[in-house]
Amino acid sequence: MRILVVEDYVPMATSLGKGLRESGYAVDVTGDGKEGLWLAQENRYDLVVLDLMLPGLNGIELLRRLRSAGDTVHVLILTAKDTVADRVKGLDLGADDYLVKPFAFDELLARVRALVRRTYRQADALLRVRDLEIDTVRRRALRAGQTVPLSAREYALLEYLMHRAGQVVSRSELWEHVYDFAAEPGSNVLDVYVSHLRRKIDDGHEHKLIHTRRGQGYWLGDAE
Amino acid sequence: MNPSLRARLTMAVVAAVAVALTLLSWALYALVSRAIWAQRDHELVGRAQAMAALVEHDEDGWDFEPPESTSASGRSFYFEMWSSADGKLVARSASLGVQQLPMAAGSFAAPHFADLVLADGQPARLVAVRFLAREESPGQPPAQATLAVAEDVSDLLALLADLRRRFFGLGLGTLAAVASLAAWILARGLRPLGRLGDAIARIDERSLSSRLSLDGQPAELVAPVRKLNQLLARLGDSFARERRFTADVSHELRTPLAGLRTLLEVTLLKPRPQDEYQAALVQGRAIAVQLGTVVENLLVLARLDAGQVEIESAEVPIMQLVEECWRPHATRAAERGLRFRNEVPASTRLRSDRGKLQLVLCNLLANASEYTEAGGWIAVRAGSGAPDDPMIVAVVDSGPHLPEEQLDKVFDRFWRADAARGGEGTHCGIGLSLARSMCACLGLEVSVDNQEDGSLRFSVRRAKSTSHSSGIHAATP
Repeated sequence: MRILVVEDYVPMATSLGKGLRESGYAVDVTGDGKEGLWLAQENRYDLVVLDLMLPGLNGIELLRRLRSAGDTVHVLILTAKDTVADRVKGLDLGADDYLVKPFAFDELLARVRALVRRTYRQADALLRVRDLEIDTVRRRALRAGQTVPLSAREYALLEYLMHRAGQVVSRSELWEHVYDFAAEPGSNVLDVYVSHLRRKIDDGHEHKLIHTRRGQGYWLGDAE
Repeated sequence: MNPSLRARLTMAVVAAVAVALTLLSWALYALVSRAIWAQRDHELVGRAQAMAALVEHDEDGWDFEPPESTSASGRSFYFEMWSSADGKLVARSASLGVQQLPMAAGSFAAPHFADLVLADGQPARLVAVRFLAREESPGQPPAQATLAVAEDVSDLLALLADLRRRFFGLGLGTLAAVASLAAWILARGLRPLGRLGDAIARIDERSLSSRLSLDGQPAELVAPVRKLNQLLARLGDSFARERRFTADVSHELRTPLAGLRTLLEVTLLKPRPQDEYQAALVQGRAIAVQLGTVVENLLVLARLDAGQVEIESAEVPIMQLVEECWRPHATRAAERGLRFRNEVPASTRLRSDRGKLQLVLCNLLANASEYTEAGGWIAVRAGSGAPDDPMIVAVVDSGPHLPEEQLDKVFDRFWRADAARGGEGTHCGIGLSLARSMCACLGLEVSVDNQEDGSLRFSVRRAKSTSHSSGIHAATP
């Protein structure tokens, strides 16, 4: 899952980036409103975490422009402004959630997870395909009741594939949702991770769940 | 409780009407009673004339047939007649008894009247006239006689007493009617005041933007309503300013606090190597220092606003003060690759309040070290100190320039520069505003201008109006 953080207070921005990355998300951080708008429009983020008082372009205006361009990406507003009028204005302009600073990082993570679930129309924090199950809160995968040990990157790949279960996911989509600008580019890295993941999930199981479609990408689910 | 306007006006109207009614009744009564008395006197004189016409005189003496002692109207009357020549009594009513009537007399043209009380206590009106009796003896001159006629007036007095009672009762009744009518009219007339009061009572701090309507207000209330609306506008403004200030303060405090909390919570997400903890602690300390500055500035600002600032006075060595002020910002400036030059001569001194001057310089330097373009320079220069040069000290940096329209706004509370001079996220919303307020306390002025060489200059000068009275001077060797 890939998140854009638009926050101009440097200590907050770096901590958010670090914390979200360590929680398994791909994160891009910017401190400027105009750049934030450009990034949000150029990339497919699963979530935008948006501060309101920004240099360049304030958060409310950024959100307004994003929505008027028809962008439906989920937006979580993060601000020190706590009056009801501020909240109402933000939510009316199309924000999906609102968190007042200072906040508990755990609460931010919970809200991020909830918004990501909404992006993929999942109501439950547990995702299940056949006998494969992942717990998005504890970031664990189980195959036939057995824990599958996964690296953070592998888990991120699996979670995205699970959210899109049954659909062909192109390599560029996978790349966009699982890697951020901090990651080194190079497309075969992705294939290496997917093959690692496939080995851990499918080896020793008769029913294979991760499949490749040549020239198009991957899908998770029953074989065609 | 104060009496109501309505009660006061009602009382005043009733008192005024009571005075008017009293005067009117008294005048009316006087007119009526005078007319009645005149009428009765006229009748009395007529009776006297009629009696005089019956009196004859001849050589044998007086011949007079006295009439009945009760008139046709049923009132008793009495008379006495004397001969004017010798003063002898000629005739008198039998009913007079021992009563004697006074002898003073006028003529028929100008009769003499008097009020008297008869022996039995009866009030009476008397007319006395001197006249010439008909002379029966030829060749004799007519004999003169004096006739006094008194008539019972108890009926007249009773009539007048009745009249007085009626006037009094009528007056009281009218007064009562006027009182209730006045109360009713005033209640109706003062209704707009009541409505205005209700409208004012409905206003609270949430509805300060509403205005009282001028429609249908009587002319007398238009001016007060306008004034009230102006008051509401001023109140609304100051409430809005207060709200904005509170919001800005909370933003200013919450931002670093939130940064600190997130930093700590993210650091605690998992066990880390020593150097990561150390880096987090260094960052946390920087935020705590910043938070401390914000709190300190806010407190000073609050004291300034409340006028609780005492000014001390001492010779302040400017160069040393600049060095002290720069120290806390040196690390941040070094991080951003900024060079610093203190160009103030060691001898420059200023008679001022050291602590407050320090606050001014610190905030100017904090601003410069945050907003000067990375890799640039900051310099502090002193003015000449000459009487015609009001410049005292200037903090100059390598830029960027501020847009012309923002030059004065940077001193507004919580104003934030746009991207052009956005800094790197430290929210310095009150430092410059505080510097300006402090300068005003010290009889100084701070302003900012774009220099032609691309630098930006914040200068502290003597305020124009108070340059000599403030006792501030720059000493040069």
